[in-house]
Amino acid sequence: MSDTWDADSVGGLLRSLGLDGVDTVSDELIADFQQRALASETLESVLAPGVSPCNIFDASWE
Amino acid sequence: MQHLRCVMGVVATSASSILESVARVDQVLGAMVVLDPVGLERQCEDFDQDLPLAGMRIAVKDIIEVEGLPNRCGSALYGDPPAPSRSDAVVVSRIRESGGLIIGKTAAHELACGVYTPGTRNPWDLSRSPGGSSGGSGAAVAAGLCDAALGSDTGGSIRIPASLCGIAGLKPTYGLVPKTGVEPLSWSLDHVGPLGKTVRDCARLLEAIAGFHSSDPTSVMSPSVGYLEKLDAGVAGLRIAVPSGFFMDPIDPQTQTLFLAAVEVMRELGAEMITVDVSYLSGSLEAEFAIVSPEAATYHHSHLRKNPELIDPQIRGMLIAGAALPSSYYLRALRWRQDMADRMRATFIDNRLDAFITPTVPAFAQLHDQEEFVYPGGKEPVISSFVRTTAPFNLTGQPALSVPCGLTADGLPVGLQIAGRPFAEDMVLRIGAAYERATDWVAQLPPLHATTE
Repeated sequence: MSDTWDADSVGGLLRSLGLDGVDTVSDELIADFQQRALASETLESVLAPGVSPCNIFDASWE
Repeated sequence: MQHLRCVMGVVATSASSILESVARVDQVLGAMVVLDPVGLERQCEDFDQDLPLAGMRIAVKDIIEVEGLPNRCGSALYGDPPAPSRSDAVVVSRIRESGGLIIGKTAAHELACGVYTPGTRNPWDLSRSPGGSSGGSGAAVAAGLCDAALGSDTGGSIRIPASLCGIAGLKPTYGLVPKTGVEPLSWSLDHVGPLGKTVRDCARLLEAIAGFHSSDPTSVMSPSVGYLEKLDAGVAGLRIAVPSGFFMDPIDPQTQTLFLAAVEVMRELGAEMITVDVSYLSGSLEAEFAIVSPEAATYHHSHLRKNPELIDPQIRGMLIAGAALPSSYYLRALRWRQDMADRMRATFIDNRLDAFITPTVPAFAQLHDQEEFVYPGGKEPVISSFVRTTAPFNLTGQPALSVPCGLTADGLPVGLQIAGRPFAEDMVLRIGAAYERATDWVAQLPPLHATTE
């Protein structure tokens, strides 16, 4: 289940980071947060547990 | 060589004559943000015709530092005007050392983060965008203002304008070309590379700018390769993959027809064409945005806090999301990227592939205010359409070249993308050159061109 973002959670997060005042907590911003949460969940759903980020050229392509 | 001699003749006459022609055409095009008469005059005085780029007129994307010129990055964040750069970026130094003539800087989409490059027109149709973010470089080369240009590519920003403007453009392997002196957007996805009228122009420029440099921590020690040596070797016997789905889902029908015709040309030239399933790429767009957003937000953190009003609202929203959203989103994207790169590597090894071809983007140049493409399969935002087919090779770091593969019924260019194994730029350029020789697309000039104005 992906994170759920609303005006309170987005506003609270921006305040805690000192980013309140940078932009208004608009419907568009909340929708963008929500979309990114869903996208992240989609990526997680197809990942095997053991995959970790490393240098993509460590393995030979030959 | 005829063209080069002509250019050298101009150089011998005067530097200002080059810029007069550029300025005249650019009044309509809007591709250049600043010209460099002083620097060009100095280069012409020191002209050495034995150098590999002798007489080649080169424009530089306005996120790459050129000594004495402002570096605006398409943004008001850097001052109005920004202070002149104190030194050249490594790639600019290498061009000068090779005899290339820097004529000035080209327009970029704000912070190299977008596919429109507002203010710049597409020379094939002035009502349309040249793409972005290296839109000024694409338009300048297509309209004959220069022989080649430098661009940067984080999610397609070299290949998109190359495709939309009907020229060649190469995103090299990650780490092959040093980025010192280039304003970052996303450290792990940024690449610098050439745009040229022909594949050979791109190869010449790449040969000058490629190679390790200790000032860039992402720079990679790689074997020295002569990118011009194998350009005429053809494609007979090569194994080239054509993807099923993904790159064509959805796609503009004319673009699809031109792409499939290009596949047939490759087959007729003797390449063995193999269909491969790359459905594992379907999260590319999500991963790209999940990586660019926090990396760009980190780099622009102080800009975001001090001068948010100077940032375009859409880009500002992306930076806010990147600064605020959990790091787990970023790490998921990095893990997904690794998984996808492993699968792409397996696709190349298992199928003994030399290259992989796709439409560069699934459509043609958008109108300046167009937000969506309408395909037979549904609507898609312009930025998603373009980045969907180019970003996979930013994520894997593979080299990817765009070459023109035809014109739509309305006379708009369409591009063919050729991706290879890491550091196999010679192979990618060889295939592009073979296709270029077999077709006459490279000979087509846009309605707005320096030779006809």
